[in-house]
Amino acid sequence: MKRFVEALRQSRMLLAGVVLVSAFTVIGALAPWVAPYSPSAISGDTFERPSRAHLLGTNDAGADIFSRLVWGTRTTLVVAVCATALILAVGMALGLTAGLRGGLADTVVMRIADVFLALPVIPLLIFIAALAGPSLTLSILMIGLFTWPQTARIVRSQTLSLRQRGFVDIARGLGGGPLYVMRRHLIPALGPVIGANLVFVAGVAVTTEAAMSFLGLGDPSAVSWGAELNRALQNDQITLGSLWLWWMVPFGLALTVAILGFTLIGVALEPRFNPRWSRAQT
Amino acid sequence: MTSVLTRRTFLKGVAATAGAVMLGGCNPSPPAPIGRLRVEEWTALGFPSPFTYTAGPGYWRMSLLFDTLTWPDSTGRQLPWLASSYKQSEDGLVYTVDLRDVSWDDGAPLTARDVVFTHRYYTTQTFTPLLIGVPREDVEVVPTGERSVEFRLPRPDATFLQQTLGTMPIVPEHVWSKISDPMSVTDPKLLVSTGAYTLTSRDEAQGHELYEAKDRYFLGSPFVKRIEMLPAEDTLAALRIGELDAASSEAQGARNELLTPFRENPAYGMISREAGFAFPLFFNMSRGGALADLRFRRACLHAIDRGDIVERLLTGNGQLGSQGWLPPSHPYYDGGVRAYPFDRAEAERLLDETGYRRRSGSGSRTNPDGSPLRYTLFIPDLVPIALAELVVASLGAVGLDIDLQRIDLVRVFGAKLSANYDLLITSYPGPSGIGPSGDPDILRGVYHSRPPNPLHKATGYANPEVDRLLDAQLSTTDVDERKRMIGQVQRIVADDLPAAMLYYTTFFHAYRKSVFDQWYYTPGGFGPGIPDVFNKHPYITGRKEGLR
Amino acid sequence: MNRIAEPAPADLDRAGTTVAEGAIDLLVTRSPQRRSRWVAVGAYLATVFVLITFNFALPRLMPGDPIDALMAFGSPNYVDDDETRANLARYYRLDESLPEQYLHYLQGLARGDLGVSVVTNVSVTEELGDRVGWSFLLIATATGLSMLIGLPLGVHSGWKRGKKLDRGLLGFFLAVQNLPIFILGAVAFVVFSAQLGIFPSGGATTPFNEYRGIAEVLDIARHLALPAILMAFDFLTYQYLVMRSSMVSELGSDYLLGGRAKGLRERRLKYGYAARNALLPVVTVIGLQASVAVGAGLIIVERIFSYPGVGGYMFYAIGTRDYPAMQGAFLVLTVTVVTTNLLVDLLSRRLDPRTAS
Repeated sequence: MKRFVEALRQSRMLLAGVVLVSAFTVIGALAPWVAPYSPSAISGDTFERPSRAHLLGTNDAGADIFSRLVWGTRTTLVVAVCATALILAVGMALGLTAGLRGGLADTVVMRIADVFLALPVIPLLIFIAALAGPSLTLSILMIGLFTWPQTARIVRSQTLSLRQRGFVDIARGLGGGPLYVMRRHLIPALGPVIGANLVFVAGVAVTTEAAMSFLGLGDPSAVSWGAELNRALQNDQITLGSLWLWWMVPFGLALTVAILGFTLIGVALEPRFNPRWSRAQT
Repeated sequence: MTSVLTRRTFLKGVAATAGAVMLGGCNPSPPAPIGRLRVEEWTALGFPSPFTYTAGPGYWRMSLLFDTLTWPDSTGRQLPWLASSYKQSEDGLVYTVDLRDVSWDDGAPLTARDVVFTHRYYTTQTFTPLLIGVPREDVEVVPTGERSVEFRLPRPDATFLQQTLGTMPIVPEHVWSKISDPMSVTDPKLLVSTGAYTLTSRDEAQGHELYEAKDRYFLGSPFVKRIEMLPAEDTLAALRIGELDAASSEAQGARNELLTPFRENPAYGMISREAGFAFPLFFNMSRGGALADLRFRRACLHAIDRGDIVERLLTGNGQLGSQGWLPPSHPYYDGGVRAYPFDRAEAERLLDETGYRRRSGSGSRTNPDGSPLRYTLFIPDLVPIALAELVVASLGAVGLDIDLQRIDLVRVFGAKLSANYDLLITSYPGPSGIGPSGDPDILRGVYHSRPPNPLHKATGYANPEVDRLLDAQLSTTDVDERKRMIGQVQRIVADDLPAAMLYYTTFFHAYRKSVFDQWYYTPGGFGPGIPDVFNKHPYITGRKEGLR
Repeated sequence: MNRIAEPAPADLDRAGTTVAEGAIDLLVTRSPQRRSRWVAVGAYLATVFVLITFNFALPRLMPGDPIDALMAFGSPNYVDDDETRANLARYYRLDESLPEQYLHYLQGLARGDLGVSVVTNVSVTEELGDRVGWSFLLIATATGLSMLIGLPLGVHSGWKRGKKLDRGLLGFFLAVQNLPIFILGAVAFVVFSAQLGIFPSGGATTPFNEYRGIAEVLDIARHLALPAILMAFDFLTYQYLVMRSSMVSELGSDYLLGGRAKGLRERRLKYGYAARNALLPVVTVIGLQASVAVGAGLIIVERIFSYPGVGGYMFYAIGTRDYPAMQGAFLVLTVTVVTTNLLVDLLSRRLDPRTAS
């Protein structure tokens, strides 16, 4: 934590990223108070132009676009948090197993990770979403399915290097059980690396959710930036006048800025906590 | 979900089917023949042979190449086409058809044998049902001369003239008798026909096709010489910027903003037809519980402000649904059906009275036994998400919790077939062909307890009186009698309300007058009942009525 | 890690290198273990087999079958009785047991036969053949465009490490590395195609054109422009980052010191030596990017711009549950991805001293 605060002071990039992500978090958390209307409320006529009552006008049903933008933040954050937690759990479990047990377990886990990294994401997403019917839970699961290998590989390689440095064996030799070793030595040592990786993963999760919704594979009842962007693009009215300026652009911008926020934090944190660099510096 | 999964053109293709009411102005004299007509493409609907096309626009493309014995014009009357004349016997059991002196592309003459062969060929192929209207296996087709043929029916059939004589494309015996699997034919050389046009170019990947007129067509050289079918994501926009010469509004209907450019510019003409498309809400009565409760269904319909929906989605370019399914513009429409005006208080009263009370606090209603009352509404992609949202909001306002699930069209129909849904808004015609304005026999598909096709059935609905009337209307040849029976069916089903007809959309077709201006909607549709504006009659003859 | 001999690099610089290395790690070193070439090929064949099986199973797991779809999309007034369904199922061999269908599918594949589309009744091999070329053209053009811009920028940026231009470029590309292609794509479509009409709204050529020679090339280019530029933008970031970091790692090399001592020109050193040596990881990244794009970006771009490639074909096939078409498209996409991966793996094995052993 101390290192983080210190890093925050040093890096403008990190600061910018943290500010952006926090801003979205606050907006998402306070959505009911920030948004003038419920996102599904039919609060005006259809296709109203921006006005005081509707900052970004209304959509094809007559819902307030600004409110949908604000509530969409929540969906984005929920996906980011849940998918990241899922990836963390799966990636840690498999990565640690592979790294600690070695041998056959290692080969199997890493081979599966290879296959997942090589699979074409979108065709499979389409298949599976059609199979299961789109929902937010499914989106999160799918994102987890395709992103865990990266985390697992990082965890594994870190575990291996810690093992090589003898931490684990010594602790074991002193009578520590595997869980004890994990808790006392591995997790603290892995923490920063995983932390930096997870910010990246959160960014990837947000991007993937948006892409899925954009392709119509998302939850229709969740208000999502990607889905709203697609809805606007599919609407015949979008080619008329400047409707796209307040119906498409805000959602595109929100996505861009949110993803930017996660990326900036990831970019700024990674070299700091990447063992490659800390080793090099010492 | 599939709004993205399927190509728009395909979905729109699916949209085109049913009967018609003709509007639009009439032009006194046809302008000088013109060359090129550019319209939207439908290449994804299959190779345009009589055995491989799918959906309405697929039939239309095929009809440019192949002819039927009769064909309708703007009056909806079946003109003798390959037939030089046809007549029906007094008892309605025999149709006698005399053929014109016409040659196939390869020079062989068209004979009665070709007609007999065609009928037999269709009825013996496994796939016939997908390709033409109802195949009548029990009809006997007998040649009575080199160029005359008789169709003998076991019992009178009100739909025979249109569904067989006006739908079945005649194919040459000397070509197809050698082909055992016509579905595998995709070679343009085998499209030997009598038709007005030849398919001269087809690119399925990019989606474009070119049809060129035959100068030596038996009804005279076609008026439109060259039909270019071109890809366009948004056809009205393509017409506006000059990429197309004619374009129709989408199945979902059109708002005024989209139509204004054509209304204001005298270079364009526009025709329209009411009830082009219908959006019914099905209640799965076989689920029991509230869905099988008449007062619950009535309350739902009272709770939905349909006028507001039509105003919002279509700027008024639509009509409120009649609960007898057929729209007011339909010749068989019965004005006495029960109406369900928007009345939130009435909806609340019905629900309270039946025991679906609001839980204290949350405001959501529960079943009489206190269990949660919560249903899922399925919508396929042809249904605008905004419509579903408005319905969910309306029902929410009277305390009914509805989850929205968007699934692809094929899944929706799977759910329908297996009765595995609660609520479903879908769109007709289109996937079904049982549009609101085709032959009134369409009611049999929805309300009969054993319909010809379970896909469209109002799930779980069975009323013996309705079954009886629907069976009887099919074999009556007396139009007034049929009207009376169809009217009675409408009144009963409007009372029983197994499905709630939300609204109908108006179809619009805009065109560049200088290129071609003889467009019309065919009353009753062309071919098996295709409601589209693309009847080949006007661009072959250059007129709206009759032959040259 | 001799590059640390340089003065302590700034945050941005370190980030640039880490991200580039991360990208290479993720893309190139598929497996952390060193395996022999034969193991790699074996693993590849196993993956292809798994994909083929997946490919067979996935469509059949989806709710709704092609007969349902044909019925749903079919002509009006058709009869949907059990007999008709059974006949259709027999015709398309959907009535066979799954093992039988699987066997026929494998036998067909061995003959290069992907079956016949249930919707169009045309051989899927033929339909895909009409589209693969366009997809390939799109990816190749995008790769070419992005190399033209990304590589020189990367070389220059790395050479001038720490200078203002480098910091600017690096910051920009780091920031946009995760941006999804569809945001820009959707806006570009609405603005340039739908509103301004500068570019055509779809297709790969003007229908029924009679263009020959230059005019034909220009026509294709005009249709290709927007989708290719968008994909190129997608490729650009990592090409730049990898090129730059690779360049940076060459900076302290002995040959550069030697070259400078010999009085070679800066320009010569930069392009003739440093850039050439730095190119290897970039080449592998470019190859793998193309393969990743086949699985993701291509499909999105083809959809937005109605470009007649394999991606759009697959979308359409799924909507109609056209099993043979779905399988065909999915097979082409997935096998392209894993094959490219294998080729790059083998190539980098040959070129990279670390893995050549």
